[in-house]
This record gives sequence, C-alpha cells and structure tokens, in this order.
Amino acid sequence: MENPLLIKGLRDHDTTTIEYIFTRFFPMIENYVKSNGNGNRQEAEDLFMNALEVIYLKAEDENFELHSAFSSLLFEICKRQWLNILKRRKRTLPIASGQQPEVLEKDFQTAIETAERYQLYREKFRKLSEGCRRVLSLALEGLSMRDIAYKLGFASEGYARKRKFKCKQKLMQLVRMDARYPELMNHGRRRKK
Amino acid sequence: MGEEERNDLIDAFLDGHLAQPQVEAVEALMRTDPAFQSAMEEEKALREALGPSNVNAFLKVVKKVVEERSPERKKLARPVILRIALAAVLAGVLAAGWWALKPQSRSSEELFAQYFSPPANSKIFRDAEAGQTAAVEAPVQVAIDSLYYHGNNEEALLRLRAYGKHLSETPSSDYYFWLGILSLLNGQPDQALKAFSAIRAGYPYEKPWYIALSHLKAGRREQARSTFEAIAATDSPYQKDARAIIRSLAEGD
Repeated sequence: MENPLLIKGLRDHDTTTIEYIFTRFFPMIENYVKSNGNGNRQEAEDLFMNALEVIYLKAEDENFELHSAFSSLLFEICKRQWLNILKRRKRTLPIASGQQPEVLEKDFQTAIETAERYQLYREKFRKLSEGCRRVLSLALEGLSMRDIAYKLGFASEGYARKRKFKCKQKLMQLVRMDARYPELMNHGRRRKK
Repeated sequence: MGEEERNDLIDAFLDGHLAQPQVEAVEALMRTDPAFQSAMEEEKALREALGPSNVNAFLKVVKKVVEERSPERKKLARPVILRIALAAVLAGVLAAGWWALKPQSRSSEELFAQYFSPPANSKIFRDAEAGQTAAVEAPVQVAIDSLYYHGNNEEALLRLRAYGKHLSETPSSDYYFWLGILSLLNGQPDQALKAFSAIRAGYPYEKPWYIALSHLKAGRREQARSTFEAIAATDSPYQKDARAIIRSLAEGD
C-alpha cells in the first residue's frame, strides 16, 4: 500500500488500513523491543498504538505529505519512545551505531511530545475516583452544569461546577507531580522560543 | 482573578459562550498574561486528550485491531482472570479486617441513625394553639398522635396515606412533611424523598435537611453530600450537623 493510501486510511479511521499496518509492520517493532531492553509483546503493542497516534496527529493536517517510507517513520517513532521509556526506567541500552534513532523531522518531534502529553493526561485520568471521572467526562462531552447536576443527582448547578473544578484541579495535580511533566512542558516552551 | 474564575472564563471561551467584547478581553489576556495562556493551553490539551476528539475515536479503532490480533493477550486472559479473582478475595478479606478495626469508619446507615431524630411535634401544636401558624389538619394530628403517643409508626403512616388518597385537593405541605418523616421511620427513604420534595411552603431548613437524610438512608452518599454541602453553606440551624456529616462522609470514602 502506498503512503497516500495509508495516510488516507488513518484519516478515515479505516479498520482495513490499520489491520494492514499492524500485520505488516508490528513484527519488526515487537522484535526490536524484545531484543533491545528485554521488552515484551504488550509493551510493543503499546508503542505501536502510541506511534500511530503520533502519525495520526500529523495526518489530521490536510496538507501533510509523507516523504519517507511509512515503515521507517513508524519504526523510528517506536524506537524513540522505547528509548525514552528505558531512560525513565534508568536502564541503559547498549545501542550499536546502526541502531541510533535517526533525527526525526521537527514536526514529528512536536507530535511525539503532544501525544506523550495526551497519554499522560489519560493515564492520570484513570487514577481519579469514579465520581470525578464521571463529572469530567460529562463536562468534556459538552453537557451544561445544569444537565450534569441533574444526571448525577447533585443538589445544584453550583455544586456541579464546584465539583468539576475540584476534579480538574486534582487531575492537573496528578499530571504535574509526574516526572515526565516538566520535561514535556520544557519541550513545549523551547518550541515557542 | 482567582483560579476558579479563570477556569470558568476559559471554559466559556472554548465553549463559545462569550460575547464579542469578552472574547477580545480573553484574547488580550492570552497575549499579556503567561499564566492565563498556560492555563488555556492546558485546558485545550485536556479536552483533546480526554474529550470526544478525533484522536480518541481513532485510538478506539486502533485498540480494537490490536486486541483482536493479540494471541498472547487471549492466552493470558484466563490466568489474569484467576489472578484478579484471587486478588479480589484477598482484598475482600483485608477490607473486612480493616472495616472491623477502623474506629472512625461510618456507614451511611450509622450516620443516619445518629443524626435523624423525628421533629418535636409539640412545637407545631404549641404554635397552632398560639395562633402563630395554621392549625395542623386533624388527620395529620391523628397520625402524629399515633406516632408520638403510641409509638406505632406503621399505623401512623397507613392512616396518613389513606387520608391523602381521599383528599379532593392537593395535600398541604404539613401533610407531605409528616409523610416524609413517617416514611423515614418506616425505612422507606425513596418515598420520604418524594414527600419532602413535594413540600411547597414552610419548612425552609427542614426540607433540605430531611432530603439529605433521605439520600443518606438510601445509601446515596454523593447526593447526600451535595445536599449537606448546600445546607452547610447557609445560615441554617442544621449547619453545624451538616458540616459534621460532611466530615464523616469524607472519612468513610
């Protein structure tokens, strides 16, 4: 399948395209993760999903065109993320010179950071209490405070607003306490300069 | 600008609920106030990461494909389920031990029992006799009489309901109030909630207090908490008790 078709498939959330990408390219990612840093299949699957998110974030831009091979890009993003994971686990990986990650286009570096930031939010969201997750989910779906109060049986719209604020504060507190947060924010600030 | 106020402003801006002058003010703040700009970016990222965004819809499809093609995950499923079941049993045993030993742990039922006391009817009669309030309807008095002087809550509730069914007009707030109290005494919190909610006049402090207690009795801690919080925020005679219950609910979570 050619690059434009793959990108179109991703933009359209096309299952066949995603199945093709998985069947065709996942084995090399799995092999890399298992033979470098003693990773397992599940970790390789997580990397694969994260890498596709990065490419999707780029592909959302209609003017986006992919100039390198899709497989190389996918592999490089996975490699980059895997090395970051190992670094955070304080594990060094004996990398042969040929395995050094290539320099990705600046735009992709930005997309990786954005995706990592989203992943951090999702991870911390799952750690909130069920009540908080419900309030925030309804608010993110666009329900008014009045509707949220009604749906969750709160006494007033004001209470729903207060609860949502507290839950969001809690979420951001969890996000900011994570070791990855300063790194992600620094990348963001450097980009703006 | 406080954090909460800033948060509301950002939400209104992103939801498109601001008028043009306010939009311009927000845009100016974004140019001049780095903290505001940072909060705006955080909110946008939060919405993109957790909301119904394109990227989340896309990830759902990817996840499904990966899970369907993951034989190892399927093979792992059974041991994982067994491990989860064992962990659940262990957690249950630990939780039971913790529950037995925890001195401050308070269930909704315990809190209800501590704070629910039927109102002193004598005050109503006294007020009625002194001409300060409208006289309580005779059948309601019968029910109250039965309750207080003979201690037969079940009979009192039956009489009151029978009286309500035969009324040609909407029952009074007194009727609903005592229907609520008697329902609570008979262990019927949902009926009590309906009755208290139907009170139209009078009982400005009692109505929310007993609604909150009805939620508590029914085990709906979240709804009870929000109603107690509303009481605690007002100048109510129940304010102190509401605050104490909120603290106990927080300890029990």
